[in-house]
Amino acid sequence: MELFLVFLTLFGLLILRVPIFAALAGATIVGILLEPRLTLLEVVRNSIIGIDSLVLFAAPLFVLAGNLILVGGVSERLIGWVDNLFGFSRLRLAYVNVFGSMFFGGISGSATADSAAIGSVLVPAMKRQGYPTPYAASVTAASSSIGIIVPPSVPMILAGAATSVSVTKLFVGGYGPGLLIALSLATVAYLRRPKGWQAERIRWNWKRMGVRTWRALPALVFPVVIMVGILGGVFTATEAAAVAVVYALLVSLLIYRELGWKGLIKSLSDSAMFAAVLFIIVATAQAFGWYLTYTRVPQKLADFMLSVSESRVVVILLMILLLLVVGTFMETVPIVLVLYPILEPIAVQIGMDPIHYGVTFMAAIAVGLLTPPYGVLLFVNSKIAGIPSAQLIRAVIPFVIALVIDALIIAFVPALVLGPVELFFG
Amino acid sequence: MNKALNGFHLLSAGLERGLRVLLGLVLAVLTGILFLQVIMRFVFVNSLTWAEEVPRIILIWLVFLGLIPTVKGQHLIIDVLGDRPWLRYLSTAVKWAVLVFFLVKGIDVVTKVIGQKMPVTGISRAWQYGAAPVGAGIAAIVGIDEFIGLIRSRAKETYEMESVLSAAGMAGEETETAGAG
Repeated sequence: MELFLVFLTLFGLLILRVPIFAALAGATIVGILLEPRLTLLEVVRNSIIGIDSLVLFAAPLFVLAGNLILVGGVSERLIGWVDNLFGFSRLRLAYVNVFGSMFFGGISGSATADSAAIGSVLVPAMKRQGYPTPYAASVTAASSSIGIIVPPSVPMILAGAATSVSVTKLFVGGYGPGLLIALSLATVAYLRRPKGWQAERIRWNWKRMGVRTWRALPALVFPVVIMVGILGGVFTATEAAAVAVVYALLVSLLIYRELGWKGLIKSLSDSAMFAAVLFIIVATAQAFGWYLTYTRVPQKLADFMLSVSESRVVVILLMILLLLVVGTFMETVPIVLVLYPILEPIAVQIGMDPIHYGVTFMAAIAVGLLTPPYGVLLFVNSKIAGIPSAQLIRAVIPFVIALVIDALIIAFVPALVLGPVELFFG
Repeated sequence: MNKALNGFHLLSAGLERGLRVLLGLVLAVLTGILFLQVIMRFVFVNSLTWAEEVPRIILIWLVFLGLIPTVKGQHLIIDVLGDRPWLRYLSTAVKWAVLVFFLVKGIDVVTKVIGQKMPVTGISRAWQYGAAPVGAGIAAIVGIDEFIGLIRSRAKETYEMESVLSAAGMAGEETETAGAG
């Protein structure tokens, strides 16, 4: 009964457009008022404990590094490089979009930033080549979801803060699934290609490739810097993020020289505000999670799920279904902060590796970025492409189906996630 | 009265702008500390012992002081009902009540932990927990300006799109050009 009231408060406040952090705090306060053994101090105390973690810093720093390096013409250079690779195909801009998103995901760690960087350059270019706008926008939207699977990934960092899972291992586990998703989206882009439509191929040219590689090199090296640092076990995720910022700063100041003082200050304060807005939710979500743990909600949910079926397959399917449903109306951040720690013990109980569980979780909530009523990438991309979101939603359906199938493959083929993890950390 | 209200608005707007830049610089200093830590460990094989606890305290202050420039509608919401005037009053009131709660209960927590020290640096835990009442308290005061704005229906952009985009750390100019396209 108390729990029902608590969740009613939470969802009621969220629907009434109360900021997520305040809704989580409000629900926790209601819960504590209904439980005489608890004091209200715990809300503040657990909020502070929730953000007393160095891991969290990795999130704004990766975003900052992405902002610094993507200033000016770097997006175009990176896209120009990928474009050359796919010159053999008539559909090359669609493939550039998908694989370009993978590279951007490897820089910025956020799906929305990914869409903005890729979409603002590629959607107009695709329109010019005569692609239908909904197709161009749907390819961009779908491929941006890779951003939360390929490291660095902000939701993975949040998962590391909410539980004791190793962020670096989650990062490494994300490479295989990221590639799988990119390949599957490229396949859908091919199958759904606009009918009766032709574009020119470009012939392979070593000299042009060399020039483009040279111009894109600093940006291309960037994901490698992150990867080597993390794979080598040289730094923690947070230190890798700090190194990435210094690298991005040097590249922007010394090589591309497109960053002025004003741009630098703006990038810094944007990233600080990103941290503030994101982490106040982390704080109050931690207090809410503490209340749920106190009232043994995770255990109750586990008992319920295991009472439906003891079968590993059924429980995994139930978890993915739950995440898909919640993903349609919730933002990724609160989903990770509230549900990740609750579902983790269930996953472990049925014998899933925590890293495998983590990456599966991310693949499942990536779908939620594209599903109405609340799909951030739908909003961002219909705005970028200038079409009503209803058109985009229709065009994106085949991609959503592919992403769901990918999530199932990732859930039932652990080697895809754990192979690289064991190779580097085993 | 009107003059005083306008003055209050200018003051809170100035505070917001100043804090945005200040917190950005704080992030820069932190990056510096973390980078220095990496250098010290590899080059001098000598870790900075304070480089763990001090950044943790700074992070907490960054988050709670960050409430001040973001209090007027920069926070993430879930947009199901769409923007309605009466909802603005309601959601702003709930947000404001939560801030006041953090101010009052935050002071209680600080008085409780004032004698406790952090293990390595020996800094009092009051420095950690103090961020909550200070940040939430000032944000609650600045938040009054939001109420005044609502009542006088000062021109205000719809915010959910912006907050989503700024949460991704995207530059403002980029969204504008993107939106125009």
